[in-house]
Amino acid sequence: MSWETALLVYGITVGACLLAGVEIGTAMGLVGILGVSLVSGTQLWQSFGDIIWNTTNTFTLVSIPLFVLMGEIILRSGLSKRFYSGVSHLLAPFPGGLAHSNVLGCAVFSALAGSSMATAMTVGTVAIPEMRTRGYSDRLTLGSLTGGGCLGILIPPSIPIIVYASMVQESVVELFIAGIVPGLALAALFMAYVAVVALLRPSMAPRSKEKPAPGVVLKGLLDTVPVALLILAIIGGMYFGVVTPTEAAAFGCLLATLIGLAYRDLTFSAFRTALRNAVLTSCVVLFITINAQVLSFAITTSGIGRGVADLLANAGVGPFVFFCLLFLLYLVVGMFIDGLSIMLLTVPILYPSMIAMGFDGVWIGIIIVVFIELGALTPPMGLNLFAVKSIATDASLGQIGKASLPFALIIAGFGFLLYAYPGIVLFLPDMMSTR
Amino acid sequence: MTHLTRFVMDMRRLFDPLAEGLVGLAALMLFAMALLINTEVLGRYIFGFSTLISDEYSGYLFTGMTLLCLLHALRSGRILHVEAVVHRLSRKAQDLLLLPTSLVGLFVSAVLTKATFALLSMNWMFNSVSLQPSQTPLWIPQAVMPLGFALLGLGYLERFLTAILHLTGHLPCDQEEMA
Repeated sequence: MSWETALLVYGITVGACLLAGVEIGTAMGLVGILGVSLVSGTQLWQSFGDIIWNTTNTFTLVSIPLFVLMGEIILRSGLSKRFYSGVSHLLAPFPGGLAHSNVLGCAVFSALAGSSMATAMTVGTVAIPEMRTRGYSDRLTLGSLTGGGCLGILIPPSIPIIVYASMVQESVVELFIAGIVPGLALAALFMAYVAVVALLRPSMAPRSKEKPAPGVVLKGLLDTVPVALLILAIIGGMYFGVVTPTEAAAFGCLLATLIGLAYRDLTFSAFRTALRNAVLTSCVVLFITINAQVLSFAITTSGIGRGVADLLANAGVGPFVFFCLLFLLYLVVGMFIDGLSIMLLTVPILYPSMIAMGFDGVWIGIIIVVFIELGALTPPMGLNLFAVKSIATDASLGQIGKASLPFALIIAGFGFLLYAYPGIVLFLPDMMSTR
Repeated sequence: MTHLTRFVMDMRRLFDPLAEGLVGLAALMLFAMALLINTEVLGRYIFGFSTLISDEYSGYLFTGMTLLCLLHALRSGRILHVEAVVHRLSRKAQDLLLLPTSLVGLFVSAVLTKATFALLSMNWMFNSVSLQPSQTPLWIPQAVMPLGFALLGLGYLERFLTAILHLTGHLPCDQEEMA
């Protein structure tokens, strides 16, 4: 069977399964099994056992449940609320005050927790009533929550980045480091947008007339210290090679637990719930990853990756056109499927072509994550829209979608900026001695 | 109540506590993993020793916790799927669609159970051990893989049979909720 036929069969089967409601991982597994069977019968089925064993034993992936656990401990111990409250005191005097806190709070907590839903619940439940009381427009409030939540998968630690690294054998640490500047730059762009809106249309973000007392500002600053130190310890530990990403994740769990206990915020029940949610979230991520590896094996066996790369090279598709096609693909598919699944479905097919076109493996990972962020904001299946809807029950999905549109446009523009200036992604990893 | 209804009800009575118990066990594994890796880090930098098993056993624990949770993840609807089309259909159409989709899940689970069991049997037969200093017999951590996929398959079977009962009117939704 030619690779074109195989690609067609795979595409139709996956599409039909997903539309019928088959679990995304199961659909990938089915296509993987069928693909391998079409090429070599059931002879290679035994290889699936090795693939699963090797995937679940990848030391890089082991960090996923630990990072999720760390985030869960922070979210459930009240550290997150302290941090948000601290940030809001510090940013209150600026135009757009609380909306900045949303962007920053969501960015930090979705990065730590790896879950936009949990972040929206934590930040949103505090922010929405407060911002409504202070007369902020819902459009700015809801948009800053959905937009801010997107940033988490770019700022380390990030689950999609860990999965990407394990798929293409890139260094997790380099990818984490590469995500820092784009993540902060995107957060700065979001905050700049909020400030401009607040200045041009003050009715959307009324400025507080009271100047916060120095004691309040100091308390705010102190409340942000534990989480800031935690993040610095994790990223610093990895950057300087003191710990591996998995060790950093485990150490992060220990630090988060100790901080939670020191503040007397962490209860036994909250810790138990954190453990439970962490294993279930990781199970879902790994189930898709295992099946994606099965699919990837079928794609390799049938020569699709090489075929697509050759086709694009012979058709004279240049890097920019290819980049635009990739953007459109993620934009459209991202409207219906969650980001991690799209990545697992497309990377085995497109990665060889991208490398052949001269793109850097680390840069590709960051670009894909930026495109995934866009998918989280686009209806009908934007996960962040649902996350915010779950706490702003009186707002319609359409309203939340409209509120998120400016942030989605900023992300799209930022993707092209990264294409024009790849150094934004690569200069920090390039500075690392390992590179 | 038909035999099939009774069978499905028995399945549920068995799976509810089983799935919960397995998630609890997985949570303990995660706790053990965090403890093990922290012991390695603190031991290395403060006390000057290495556990020698941290990387290896955290991988085994990760495999175990993931596969033990599959049944719960499926039954609680946590495993990601596209709902955009299915949710627009009538209840009956959704149940009808559950028949082929559950069979797909059953098939994939069966193949993966077979493949992982074959790996386990081979390592058992040749008494393969890990290349790490612990020289752990590989069949021990691998035993959880066919178990996890088999349980996932049973979860799909439960879903398939429940859909049949819905379609034939032997298990109305209100009775299901009561159960």
